[in-house]
Amino acid sequence: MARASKPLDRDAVLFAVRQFGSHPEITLLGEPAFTAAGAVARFDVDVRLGSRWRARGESPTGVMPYESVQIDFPADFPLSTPDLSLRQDFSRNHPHIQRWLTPDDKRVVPCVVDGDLSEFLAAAGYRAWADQTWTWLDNAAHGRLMQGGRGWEPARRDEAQELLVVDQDRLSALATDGGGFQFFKTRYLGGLDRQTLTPRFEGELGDACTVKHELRERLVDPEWVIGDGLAVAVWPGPGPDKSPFVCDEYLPDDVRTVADLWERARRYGVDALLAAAQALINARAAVRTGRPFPLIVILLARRPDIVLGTSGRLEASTYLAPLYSPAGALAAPDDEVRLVGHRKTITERLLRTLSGDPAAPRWVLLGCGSLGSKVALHAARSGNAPERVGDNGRLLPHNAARHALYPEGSGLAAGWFSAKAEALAETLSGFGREVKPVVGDHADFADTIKPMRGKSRPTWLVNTTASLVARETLARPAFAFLPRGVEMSLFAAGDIGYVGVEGAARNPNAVEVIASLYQQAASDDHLRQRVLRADQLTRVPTGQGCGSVTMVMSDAHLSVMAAAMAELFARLGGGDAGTIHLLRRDGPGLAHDQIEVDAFERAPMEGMPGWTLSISPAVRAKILVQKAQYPKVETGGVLVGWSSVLAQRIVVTDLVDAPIDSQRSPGLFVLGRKGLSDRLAALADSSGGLLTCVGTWHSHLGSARPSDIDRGSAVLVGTCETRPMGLLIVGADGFRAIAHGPSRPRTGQTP
Amino acid sequence: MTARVSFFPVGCGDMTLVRTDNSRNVLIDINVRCAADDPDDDDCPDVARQLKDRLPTDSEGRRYVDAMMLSHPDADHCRGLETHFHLGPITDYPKNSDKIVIREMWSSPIVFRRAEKDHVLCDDAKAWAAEARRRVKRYRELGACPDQERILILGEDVDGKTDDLEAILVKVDDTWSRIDGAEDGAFSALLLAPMPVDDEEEETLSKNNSSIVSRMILSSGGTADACRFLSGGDAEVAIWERLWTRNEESAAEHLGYDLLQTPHHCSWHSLSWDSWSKLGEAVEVSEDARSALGQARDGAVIVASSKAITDDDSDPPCIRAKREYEDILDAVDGSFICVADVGDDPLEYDVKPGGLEEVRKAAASVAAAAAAAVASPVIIGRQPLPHG
Repeated sequence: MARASKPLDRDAVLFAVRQFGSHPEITLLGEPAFTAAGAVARFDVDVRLGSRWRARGESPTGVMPYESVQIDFPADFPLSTPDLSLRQDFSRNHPHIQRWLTPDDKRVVPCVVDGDLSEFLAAAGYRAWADQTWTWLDNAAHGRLMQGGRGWEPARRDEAQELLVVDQDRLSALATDGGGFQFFKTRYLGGLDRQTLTPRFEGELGDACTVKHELRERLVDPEWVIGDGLAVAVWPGPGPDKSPFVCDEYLPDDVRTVADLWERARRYGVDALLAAAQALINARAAVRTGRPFPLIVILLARRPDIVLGTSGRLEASTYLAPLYSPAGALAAPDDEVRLVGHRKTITERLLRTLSGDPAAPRWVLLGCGSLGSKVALHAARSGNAPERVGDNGRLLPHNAARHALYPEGSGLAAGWFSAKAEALAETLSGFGREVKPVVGDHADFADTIKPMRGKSRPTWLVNTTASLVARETLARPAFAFLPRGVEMSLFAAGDIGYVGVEGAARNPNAVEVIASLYQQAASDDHLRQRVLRADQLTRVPTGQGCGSVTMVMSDAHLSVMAAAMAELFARLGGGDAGTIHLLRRDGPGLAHDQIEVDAFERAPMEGMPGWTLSISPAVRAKILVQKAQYPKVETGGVLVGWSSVLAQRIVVTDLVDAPIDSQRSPGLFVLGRKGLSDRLAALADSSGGLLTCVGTWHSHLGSARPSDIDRGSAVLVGTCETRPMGLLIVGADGFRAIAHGPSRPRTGQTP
Repeated sequence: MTARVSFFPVGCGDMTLVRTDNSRNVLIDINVRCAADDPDDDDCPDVARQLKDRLPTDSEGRRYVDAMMLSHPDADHCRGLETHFHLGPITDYPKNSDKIVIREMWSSPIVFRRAEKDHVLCDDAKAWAAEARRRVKRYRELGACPDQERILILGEDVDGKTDDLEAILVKVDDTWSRIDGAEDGAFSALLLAPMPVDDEEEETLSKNNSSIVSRMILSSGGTADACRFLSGGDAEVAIWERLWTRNEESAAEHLGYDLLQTPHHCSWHSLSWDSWSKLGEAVEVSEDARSALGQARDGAVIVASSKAITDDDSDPPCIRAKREYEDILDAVDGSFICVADVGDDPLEYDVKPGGLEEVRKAAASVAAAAAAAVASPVIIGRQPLPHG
């Protein structure tokens, strides 16, 4: 359509014509003809047919050695896009022909560019258009417009005015080699102003049903009805040679009448089955109005290759035909039949196709706040929504600042106050998988996971609660049944993103992984200042008497991290080691560091039932080296790390070597004190007091079995220390740990 | 990679490279004249360079052909062999020599015949024969050919010297589709000659008439019968008459072609017993030979690997033969082309599902390239398409 009345830009036309004609196989025939309506240029295209086809005058698909191409330039070119067309009698039995622009009395319009032609011309120019045109003709000559073996190109149905939402894979799945038909319920919105058919049909294919499914309509508007309708899908059985009937003939979808529909059914090898379905419909369909009902007819053609956009070889062609009472359907040859376009239902497969992400292992989400909701939405849009989501909170007004869900309506915030888990699950369930909400805390959530066994057992538990309680509680032995955890959280006002991945069999677990991060931060100024700061969170007033402890940052700021975390999660491998992913804001972007955390050595702590002493791989290696350096006497040192009462665990992440006044002998190691306090103070300082002395270790020349002296020391430490302290012994048979619980308050005695 | 047949501009001689759809290269004959190896000679194209530019290299950096067929041991079919090809055990390959490795030799059984008065061999032919015998000896010693030292004998030896070579022997009327010991799904060949001869026919078994005549079938992109290529070295009228007699019943299948390399550089002696030089227009064509060479399929191409064909009494190439071939092609809307008429570049055809497609030549000179660039501006860059 012309957009301006200014004179035709002749120069622009000539440039375009020269560029198009510069293709070595394309020759401009004469000068462009300029008219009031624009300009027309004609070209000869040497399709370079092989010698045999050239001699015969055409390829088997009807492409001639030289094809004429015409370009029509509109009057407002180059503001509007020119049209390219082929000779009028060019075969229409090719894919990628714009059928609705190509009636029999007009030149054939090929679709040579995938996408918007105007954008293509702006990006690539007219010579590239010529390349596309030549390649299109070459492919047409070789019958390769079917995507060069990538699959069967379904017929274009762009002109279809009627729409049906259908899961093609579901149709494909029901089709058997033996052939058959199946009735389905439909729900539709139909125009009421109709003579023979609804003028507008927008429907959705529902469950399978019998032909007796009651058909009815309900007026929702003076002009529109909502109806319960009927669809029939027919698929081919075996052909004359007893093998499944395959239709390898590409045909543009030009069915317009009932007679056309029967002819199409014959070509697809489904005419007899459609007749059987028709007989049932005519005999038993529950039509209760005098008006014709919209009957959806889905012909499934078995193709020689996978139909593009589906996972099978069946191509669905869907039509809308009138169903009369009592005359029935598909009887009058001249009755109008309309093409019905398909709209895919939202399926995880569709989402995966569009996102390019593979199917992810099953996972569950604990924490439906800002970060969790965004990560879950990202995953859901990739067809990998979590199986269930858990949170004990409700959506509050302040959540609107950053949560992936958003309030609807005109400001009545009451509707926003639903449980986070339920609200998020409802939204996620729109992405092709039913997501179950768990309204409760981490323990409640864990309880719902326990019964999930076998294939239903999730591979990952993603914890976005940013709750130390949740992290540490779920690291208790009682929760060892949980799947591997992935903790996602933000530090430093969202400038640092942390993704901690537990190892196989949850070793390392979340507290061991986070302890490794603390150890890393203690020796990294940048991290130390951002991660080990105690004042990370701010209290934000949210209402009278209410407050929320949160980080102040914008939604966009959080989304940057959430998106990156979702990507990291989507690409998690199944390796045995744990991993720390650190995301750091770097200008508007992010820098990423990855630290492998191997399995910890774990020793149950004798004297403190349920407790475990976890030794990082680095510490374990250091201990073994030092033990080897003193093969004939006992040696030892100080354990540095972090402990959690909730997790019932002491995590050892570093060592302080034995002071020089320590005494080593074959039967005894006595830890010296010289300089030890200063060194421990320096260590605590570097980690903001987080990493401290958590016990001692010493070697035995023989078994690691604790001696009476060891047990006595443990009691002494347990009596005097307010924090859990472990006593680790390494012997020829491995590691053993002992401790003594804080059985009574400290009395002021010193050891 | 598309199957392709390349005819090198070697004057009156043959040098043809067949590349299959699976990128295996079969070289048929070579004729690298001294002038072609002379960098100061601008008149004779450097066909050795042209060939090497079309060949892949192995992991050791050595260029190689998967197979080389020598149609017969005349100089204009094997000239340059010792200079440009490695002969001998692969372990003796001289480093940085740029010699071409022949992974598999396809040889006629003539290599088992002693040189006689009528069977004088040039040095390159002797080298071929020696290498062929060495490989056969290795086969006999090991019971199999070592990698890169394979050999196929095409045709049986009249004296029974090929009787124990069954695994590496292709008999007349047999087809083979193995190249360098491995099946090539895009290639098969039918051996039409050399045919076994009796004593009375012995005298007709000149070197020319010992030529390997084969009909190859090349696939293209899944089209199995995309191109049939008939080539016959220097086989003369006696051979073609016998081929017609043997194959008349299955002529289209055995002798049909989309591409024919005229025997003996477009010699009249492949089509007639008469001498064009002596009899001129009085010559008569042998109907049987013409029938054998006349099984052109639609749009067939006949290539004369010769110097330019002139309208005089010279032979080969012979204008009368050219006229006969053009007559054959008239019925199928085919085309005749002489390699010498193409210029200094090889005449090349891509094998497409619909037949042959001549490969366009690049601009011949800097000036022409510049002119072409002005006339045909290529796309310099594409704007990135943003996602909205």
